[in-house]
Amino acid sequence: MLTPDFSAYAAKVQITSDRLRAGSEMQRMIENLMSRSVIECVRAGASLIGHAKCIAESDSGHYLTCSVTDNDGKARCKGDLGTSFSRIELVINILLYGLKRTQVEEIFNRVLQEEAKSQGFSVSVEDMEVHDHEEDHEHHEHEHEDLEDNHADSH
Amino acid sequence: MDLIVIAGFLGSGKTTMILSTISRIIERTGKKIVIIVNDFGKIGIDGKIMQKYGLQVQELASGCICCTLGPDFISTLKTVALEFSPDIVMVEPTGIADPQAILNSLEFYNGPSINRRIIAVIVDAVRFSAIVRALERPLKAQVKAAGLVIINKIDEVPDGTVKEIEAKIREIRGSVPVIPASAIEGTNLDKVVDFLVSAC
Repeated sequence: MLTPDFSAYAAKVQITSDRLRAGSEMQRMIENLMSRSVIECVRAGASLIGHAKCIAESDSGHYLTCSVTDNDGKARCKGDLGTSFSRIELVINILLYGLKRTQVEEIFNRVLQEEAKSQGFSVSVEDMEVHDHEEDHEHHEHEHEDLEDNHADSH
Repeated sequence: MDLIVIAGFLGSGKTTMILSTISRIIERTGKKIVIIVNDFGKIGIDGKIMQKYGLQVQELASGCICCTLGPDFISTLKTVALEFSPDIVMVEPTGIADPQAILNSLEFYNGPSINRRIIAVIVDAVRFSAIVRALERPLKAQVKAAGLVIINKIDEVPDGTVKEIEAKIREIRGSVPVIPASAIEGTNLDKVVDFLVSAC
């Protein structure tokens, strides 16, 4: 299902606070971040949401996972971030059809900054480079005829 | 060892299905299971989640095991077989993968023998019609490759929708076993496990 309009965006985000925060505050922010990112991608022209997913781990060892699969942006989360923390590492993947990776990146970063500011968190983003199907190589029918060549090259 | 591929579109519930069934499979069979997870993103999220549940997981990230990571998949499968001697290797490819291509790649596998190979394809009951509209051909390819189709998320749609989806699947491949289920609610997971266990 790798088509020319498929794109994948991945990022690692460090979220910090200058004071201890409740896990529920961060969970709300992450749910809003995931939900709003998807909704805004749809508004910007995404034709089909594949999967927007994340895992957040606190410095207290707790973790939360969130998933959005629908255009309505409804986030489903499992786990918890504990009662208090000052640092969270968030890894996020957004896989969808109809937008370029750079568009997804712009939307995510904007929503992240807005949510962080409104909640009083500091964030720094490490963009994990994932190949954009359209930008990195010519479109093909993805019929896997290249597998034999790949195998020969690696042995 | 046996190979079970749990395929399906992005967000269809592959990871949840694995997490919901694996303990039942182990309890039923006493078999040793290792999971190979392929995430398209540079950092695998699904593998991290499975590790949090205490599962033995090998991750392949940054691509698709049905093409760009094909040689890595074959190499990882051989390493897993030699290092862990599992009874079952469960593979979760990325949601954009063609499961038949994964099986075809086994032509280049020269590790310990694989006895049975099963492809279970999960279809998302909530988004089925949208996915068919956007990606009909690759979706059909997934169903055609399946030894079992699991219609997931049935708790979120009316019964009539599930029947329509099953009818559409039968148009694509009339003889394939179909199990409507909900990985989150636990509906019909015993049937899923029955199938996977009896096929191994």
